Amino acid sequence: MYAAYRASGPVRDSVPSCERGGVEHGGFGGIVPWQEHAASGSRPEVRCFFVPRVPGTQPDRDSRSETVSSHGLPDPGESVQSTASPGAVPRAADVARDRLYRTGGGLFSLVAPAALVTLAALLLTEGLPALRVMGFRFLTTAVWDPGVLPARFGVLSFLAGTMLTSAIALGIAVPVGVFMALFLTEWAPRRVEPLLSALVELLAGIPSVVYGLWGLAVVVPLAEHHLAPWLSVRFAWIPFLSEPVGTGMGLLSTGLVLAVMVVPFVAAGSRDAIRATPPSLREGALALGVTRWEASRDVALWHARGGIVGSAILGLGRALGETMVVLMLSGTALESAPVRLYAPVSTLASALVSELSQAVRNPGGMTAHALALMAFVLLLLSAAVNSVAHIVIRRGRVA
Amino acid sequence: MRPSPNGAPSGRSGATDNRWDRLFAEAQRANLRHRRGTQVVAVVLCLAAMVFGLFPLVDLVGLLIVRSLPVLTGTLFVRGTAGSVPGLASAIWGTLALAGLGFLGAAIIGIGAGIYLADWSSPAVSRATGMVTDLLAGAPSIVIGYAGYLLLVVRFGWGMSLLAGSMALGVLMLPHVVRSTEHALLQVPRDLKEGSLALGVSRMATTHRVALPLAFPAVVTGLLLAFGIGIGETAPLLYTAAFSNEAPHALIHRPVGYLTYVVWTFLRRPGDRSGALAYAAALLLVCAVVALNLGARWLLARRTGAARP
Repeated sequence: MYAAYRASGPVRDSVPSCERGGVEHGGFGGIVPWQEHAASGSRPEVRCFFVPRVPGTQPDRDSRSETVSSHGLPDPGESVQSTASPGAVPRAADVARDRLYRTGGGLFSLVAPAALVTLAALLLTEGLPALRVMGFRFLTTAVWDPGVLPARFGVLSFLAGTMLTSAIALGIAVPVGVFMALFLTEWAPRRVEPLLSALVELLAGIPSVVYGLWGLAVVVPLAEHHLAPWLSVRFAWIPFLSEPVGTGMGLLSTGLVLAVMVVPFVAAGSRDAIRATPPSLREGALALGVTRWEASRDVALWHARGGIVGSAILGLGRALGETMVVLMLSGTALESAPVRLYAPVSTLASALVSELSQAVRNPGGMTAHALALMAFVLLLLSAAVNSVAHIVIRRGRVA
Repeated sequence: MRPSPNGAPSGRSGATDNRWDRLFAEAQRANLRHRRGTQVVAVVLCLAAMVFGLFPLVDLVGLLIVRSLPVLTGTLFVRGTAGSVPGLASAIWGTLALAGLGFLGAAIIGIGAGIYLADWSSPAVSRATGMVTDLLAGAPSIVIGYAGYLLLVVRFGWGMSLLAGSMALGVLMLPHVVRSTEHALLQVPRDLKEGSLALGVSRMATTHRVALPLAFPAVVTGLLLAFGIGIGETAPLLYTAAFSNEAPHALIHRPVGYLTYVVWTFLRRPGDRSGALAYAAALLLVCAVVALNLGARWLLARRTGAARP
């Protein structure tokens, strides 16, 4: 019924063709002349009618508004009353207005997709000159140097930087977020849990530039004086973690702050997914004698795996596109991919901003074209990641 | 207590039986001790994750308050954003103007689109449009900013301006408004909508008189959160609004200042007050986000209190 309501055309289609004709008993009636509509100006009609007989109730016109208000609805106003005249044939004006409404709503709903298509088309056309010059080397070379002739634009190092920072962020955020979700759903006292959930959601709403500020003041010194020295001494045999430890601005601090930003998304998504586990499953496990931890590990986590993976991928999408934190904490390396955990790094998003002055000084120049192409690549990347996340989440919900 | 899993038949006699039982019980207790130990470790891990996850929030708020103390005066809201005096007024106005204008467009279009997707279009169309809208919501903000620069600033010739910046922000907020409105309307029980239609109420009146009033708090909640996203964005404005020390006074050709830009750049500016101003701007942003979150929660709490008698 509801699907029909959504799918049907103007409301006329969804009103049964047999309608009530002021008869007070159940069963099929005959043909009655349709008088009210002659008064309201539309054509007089002859209609069949069918009144279902509900024991103990008599069809009563005046009880309609009360029935509706008892559902907690506001009292229908004047125009609703007049529309709902007995027999309830939609007036021509209503049908026309509905059609207008539908058209307008349809147009509005197309704005967002149109914006996305415009975005992609614009960036691609603007980036074509750069693509013509660089060809496939745009993606496979690591040198970004607009200063030499011919200028060289290769985004491989930015791609690597994007992947590395996101990988560090996810590597920290996923376990922390999942354990947070477990705490919220299983262990938090019932009176504290809403507060904690609210704080997690607040964490998700804090502007990224504020996280950048916090990272500069707290995480960068921490990385420089404590984390990086410890890691480089302890794991000196791994080239990626060996000295020099640098200034603290680099891959490590960027990844850490990105992790802090992604954690609330993973935690909230996993929490919702775990909550969707049917209680009977968990209770069944408990009845078999497993501990609460085993129940949440083997039943809830397994049941929620789709949602958890999906929210992690959504977090990845956020980390990929994050600009301000990387810009403030990474130390910007336009020439090379990071070879150490403590080295400066640039991502696709941050390079787009660090090359801002170049593009603004010469809007028609090749750098602007190359940046457009880079933005297009970033858009494709995030679209791919987000699509995968939605598919995973949907499949998890169905299974 | 768990049922004893030993297969020892109960009818057997004497000492051996007891010994086996004791051994089984002992093994079982050891097993349970081990598993309870694992559970304790797991709970500690969960708690540690919670502390680790929420520590940044506490630390961040404390840091912002302490570092911005020198400039936390009333003049913050009065004086212009020059960096040498404690004033952020022009940046505050800029943020409000940019986010407000963009929000206006996003709210009008987004609510209309959300209504259409929830109650009017066919399910297939809704699903497809919703997926594309989600993709726009996931698009990196800097990409939207750069496309806005190419189209609005350069091609339309608006220059770095209020209109360009607010349009970029509007595109950023739009998908969030659409999705939250759609979800809010889908939460309204079907039988109410169907009942209204069965009474012969037109579909438009059903949407306006039945669905929207019930979904209203949730719709407004979505709007508030979208506005919060808008005021906190920096990346889409770098290319489209630039920065200015003056309060916004023209739609195009005049750059606009905004709070997030102050947070980003004032830390590196010379001058003793600039750094503190950056922290003050960040504190204002966090306060705004907290206020919007609280407002949203309050509205939702009121709805759940009223809708289910």
